[in-house]
Amino acid sequence: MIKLENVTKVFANQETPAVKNLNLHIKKGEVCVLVGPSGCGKTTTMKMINRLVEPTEGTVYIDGKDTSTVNPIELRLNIGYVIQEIGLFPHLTIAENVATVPREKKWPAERIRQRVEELLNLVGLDPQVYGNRKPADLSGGQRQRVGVARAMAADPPILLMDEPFGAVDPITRAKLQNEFLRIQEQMQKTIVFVTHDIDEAIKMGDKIAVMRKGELVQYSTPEELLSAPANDFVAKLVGKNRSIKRLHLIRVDRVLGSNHNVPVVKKNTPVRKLEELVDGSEIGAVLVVDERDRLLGLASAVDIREAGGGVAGDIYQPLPNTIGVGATLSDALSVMLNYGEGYVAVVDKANQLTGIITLGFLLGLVKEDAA
Amino acid sequence: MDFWSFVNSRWDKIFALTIEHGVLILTAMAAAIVVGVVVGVLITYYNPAAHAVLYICQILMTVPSLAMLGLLIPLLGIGFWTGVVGLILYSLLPIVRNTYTGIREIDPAILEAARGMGMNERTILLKIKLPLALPVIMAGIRTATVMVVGIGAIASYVGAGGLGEFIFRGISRYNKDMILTGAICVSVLAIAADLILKLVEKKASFR
Repeated sequence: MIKLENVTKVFANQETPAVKNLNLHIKKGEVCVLVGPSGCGKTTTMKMINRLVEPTEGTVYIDGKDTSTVNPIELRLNIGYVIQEIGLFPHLTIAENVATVPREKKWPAERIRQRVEELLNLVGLDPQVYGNRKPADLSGGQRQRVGVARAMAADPPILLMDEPFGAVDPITRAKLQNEFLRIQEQMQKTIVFVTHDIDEAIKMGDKIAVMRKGELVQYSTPEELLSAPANDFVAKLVGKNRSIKRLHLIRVDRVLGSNHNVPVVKKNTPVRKLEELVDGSEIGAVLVVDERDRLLGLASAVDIREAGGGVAGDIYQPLPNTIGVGATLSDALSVMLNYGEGYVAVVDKANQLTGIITLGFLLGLVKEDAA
Repeated sequence: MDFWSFVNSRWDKIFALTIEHGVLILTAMAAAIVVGVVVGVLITYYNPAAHAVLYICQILMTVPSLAMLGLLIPLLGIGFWTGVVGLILYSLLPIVRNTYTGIREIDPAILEAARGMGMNERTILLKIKLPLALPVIMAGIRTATVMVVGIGAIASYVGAGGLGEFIFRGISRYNKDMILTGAICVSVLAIAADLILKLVEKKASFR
């Protein structure tokens, strides 16, 4: 989707390049976080994507098209842009602010009105209440929401966000981050997200690009970044208690499907078949699901032995220790501790079983870090 | 009450001169606003020129008004338009300077957001910069107008007409009532302009 090829930027009157020979490939629908200390070139890199900064050397491609051949105004109208200071227009109402790009694109008035309403609802601001207010009447968090709504107004496939939640208090920030992740889950935009906060990077990013002095130090998933920092700089950036951070920051859906050994059976599986399976189970039990993979419960080795016959659907017991796909590994750990069990089943909104997290797996993660 | 009998007997003349004065001011200000705002906007795009232009405007304002009008006579002769040009030159500084400052002092984040979202420079100027700078520009226009009402009285020396005629004729004839009438009318005009423009300025503010 977005590809930076050998991109270098040297600002006028400066000897050292702000960005040095950078190569970056951002896939469609991915959140790519550019992270690093101030002055590392992350914002410059972002601004080269919508040509607010023109690269000195190298090429930026969007959907395979060299952006230097596209009219910058045209280019920017199709890329959402959010900055830390938000930059809402103080003389316009919230609705007018959100309508900026659709108006530039000459949408009909009625369509703009509907879109503004839809977006304000999406970011949790009642259009009836806030639509006609001026930015000065809103709190910092509300203004950030308007900023995000404004950037998404014309439904651009790409969003550029420069420390979008940097200017609000930590509680509001966490809330905005979570809301944003929820929105992104529906929208599937390609997002370039700039931050200096590694925790935010790990939380928000599908991919993280660590930058230092204009160069790309490591480009990997948050998990890789935490488990295998490329060098001392990255390790230091990530911090000492990496293992705890991983538990706090990694969502369970990111690690599902990896190494656990718990059999899952449909409810019509004969019990004698379960006897073989349960022997190989890490938790001494098998999980039982219905025909549509919805979690019913679990059948322990004891249940299976005592039953002697029938199908799995007759003998399972309900399983209270489940968590949703959006939870973090630390949530998973606390559920395990609460129930005194070494595992937790992960289910989605429809109660379909999507995986299992075991204590062994978590220990494995922590041990990896210690090594 | 000599003064009141003077006013009563010359009512039509007072009215005519006040109108004349008003027309002089309005003509000069209309032109000054157009020129001043355009120049003020242009120099925001080129900083080195800004300093030079503002310096020239400052010099124009420093030249004593009588001298300025005198300097214009060889070029334009005597009459209404000489007065108008003099007043325009005088009122440029507050308008140009306030336009320039008003635009320069807009939060850069607002302009970056506008640019980043794909607004072109023309739209940014018309829909963002000028509306946001408007209160400051209006303040400059008010300063200039009040000043020009006063200097407009001097412009009758070069044949531009207006309430200055009462003052100067009164001085030459040693007619105190005439001087007083002219002086009071000019003052009232200046105060009225100030009050009206203050209201407009308040309306222009977006907060």
